[in-house]
Amino acid sequence: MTPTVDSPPVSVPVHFIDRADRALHDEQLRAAVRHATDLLMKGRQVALGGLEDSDVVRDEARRIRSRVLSRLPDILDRWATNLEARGGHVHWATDADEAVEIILDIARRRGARLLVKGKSMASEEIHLNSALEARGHEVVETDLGEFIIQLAGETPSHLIAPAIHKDRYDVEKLFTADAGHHVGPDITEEAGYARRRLRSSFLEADIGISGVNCAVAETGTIGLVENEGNGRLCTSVPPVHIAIMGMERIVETWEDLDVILSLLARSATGQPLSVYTNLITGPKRPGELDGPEELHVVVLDNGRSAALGTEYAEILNCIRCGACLNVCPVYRQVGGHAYDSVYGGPIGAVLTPLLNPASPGGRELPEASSLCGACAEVCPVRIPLDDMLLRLRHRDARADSSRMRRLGFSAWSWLWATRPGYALSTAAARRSRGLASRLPSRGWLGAWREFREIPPMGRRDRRSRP
Amino acid sequence: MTTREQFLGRLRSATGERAPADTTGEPVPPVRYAVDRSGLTGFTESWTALGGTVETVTDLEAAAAAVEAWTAGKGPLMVVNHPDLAGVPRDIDWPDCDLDVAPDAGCGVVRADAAVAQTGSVVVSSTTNHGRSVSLLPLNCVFVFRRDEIVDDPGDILRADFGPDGPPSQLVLIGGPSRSGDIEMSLTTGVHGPGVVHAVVVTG
Ligand code: SF4
Repeated sequence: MTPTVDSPPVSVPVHFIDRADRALHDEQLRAAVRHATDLLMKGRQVALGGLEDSDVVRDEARRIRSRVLSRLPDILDRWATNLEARGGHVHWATDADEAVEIILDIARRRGARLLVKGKSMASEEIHLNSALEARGHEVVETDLGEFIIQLAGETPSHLIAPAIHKDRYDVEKLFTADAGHHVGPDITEEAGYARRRLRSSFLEADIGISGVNCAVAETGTIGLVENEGNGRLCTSVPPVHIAIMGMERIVETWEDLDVILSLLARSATGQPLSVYTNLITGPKRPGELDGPEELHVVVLDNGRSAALGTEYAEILNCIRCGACLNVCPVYRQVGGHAYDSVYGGPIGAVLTPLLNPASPGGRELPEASSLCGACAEVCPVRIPLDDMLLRLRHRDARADSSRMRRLGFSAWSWLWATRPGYALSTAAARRSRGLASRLPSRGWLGAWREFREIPPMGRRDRRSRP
Repeated sequence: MTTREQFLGRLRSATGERAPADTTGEPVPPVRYAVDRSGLTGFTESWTALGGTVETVTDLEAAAAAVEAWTAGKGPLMVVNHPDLAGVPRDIDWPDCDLDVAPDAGCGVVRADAAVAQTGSVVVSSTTNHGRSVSLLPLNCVFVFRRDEIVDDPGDILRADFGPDGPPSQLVLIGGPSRSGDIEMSLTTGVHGPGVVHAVVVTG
């Protein structure tokens, strides 16, 4: 499906700082992101209160996920064997191209014209829509938020609230253009239009595509949680279901699943469980009138294995709840598009350099953080996101320190290692403080000065106090 | 194309020779909740908070009458062919119907395997209901189950033994009407799945 609103192509600035600057001047975006993230954070807090001791459950979840990582090959192996025994087909994709090729192959073989999709970040990661459209297949996003941004020709701006940056008037324009008659701005009317419009797509679709929230090895099951029912429709109505699964999105047992599910919706949307917790084990069986004849799961590596066995491996424990985005002071100001990566916020700032080290975001995004640690504080599986961001910065700084910069730092450490050197430097700082206000207000020095206050210095340095 | 062996082989070399974590003897304790919720009272509290309605009846005959009354005027009625729903009059008898007529139904009636008091969920199996559409396509849906099928926590369902046949092709926990907050975080119901949901609990 092509965007229905002809807007001039907007060029995306290359650097985070420029994209952030643009976002900071977009009042509607900032108000919308603040409103949504505030609500999600409050909801999370209330919902976690529904557990006797959420800290205990989070520790357990971390333990479960880390155990999975330590035995991932065996667990995936067992899951695949069980799913195949139930009639499912498992495909293994080393990278995005291979995943796309597998899906195109199935679409070709089935002579598929129309594909319906539920929300799937893994499909965003492999840029599936554009690949399918380039081969003449029509793809319709069916999650309400994803449908809106597909009409707008944009990408999701939040893990769980993809159209967080659009308001009812934006939707009114998009839906009116799509319908050919006026729709909105009443939200109920807009949702009603989406139901009718997308229902015919579900019924006509040749293939349904979904993500996977959490697979279960012991029975070969895939779990998919969602609130609208579009995920259930995508995986039930079309004759073929293709699920795309990041290779780490798995647990061993249903007991483990219980723990993960008790945290996922609570952390994501503040619900005890999502409206639909779909647990799928194979295609339709004899005696069932509907359900897909074929179930395919594409297991995606796409750079993940490079993180395995490294100090960043724990990032693969992520259950994609989005809580770290909601509390991040950077995300809350600039929204998801400023990251210009499939994954934004703190999780994106860690994941992007690992999955896509050569991309500009791979270098810049670890800098897009105040290192306040709020993300790690809320993460249901306790990923030390702020530590990882710091390590990534450290790694980058070491890799590209210029000779001058290294010399400067060596001189500084040499100077401060001696008492007279330290005294000399503080005396110099005290004298030159007034100079800062006389720095030029333009150019890069001006930009540096604009947001900085030079802190007042004591009259004597600490070491010379009695 | 990458084979399973190649894919897993790469992971094995990436995880290195680290000893696999001991996974035996470490049972995962059940999730504990702040407030105990159980039985019909617990379920009713949670389910209605999510926007569903509940009705109790003493036997299957009364259940059929309750379903008939609730579904009146809600469009063609599609009912699963299940012995406990035999008394419910119907326009579409699932699965003894043409799949093409399913989208016309205005109301679906299914036999839920269980319900969960803690989360206000009904548990719907594709085996019991010969497929999935009846609780999915219509705008209105009725779930019929017995009071003694209400369990306390989701773990009572998820940790249950599925037996030699394993779980059904689709097991779904449904918590209230379909909902979306995708436009301005404002709650709208029925955006894809049923927007009006009713539980009929047989107490006898
Ligand atoms: S890193 Fe943690 S908080 Fe962030 S999305 Fe993943 S699980 Fe949620």
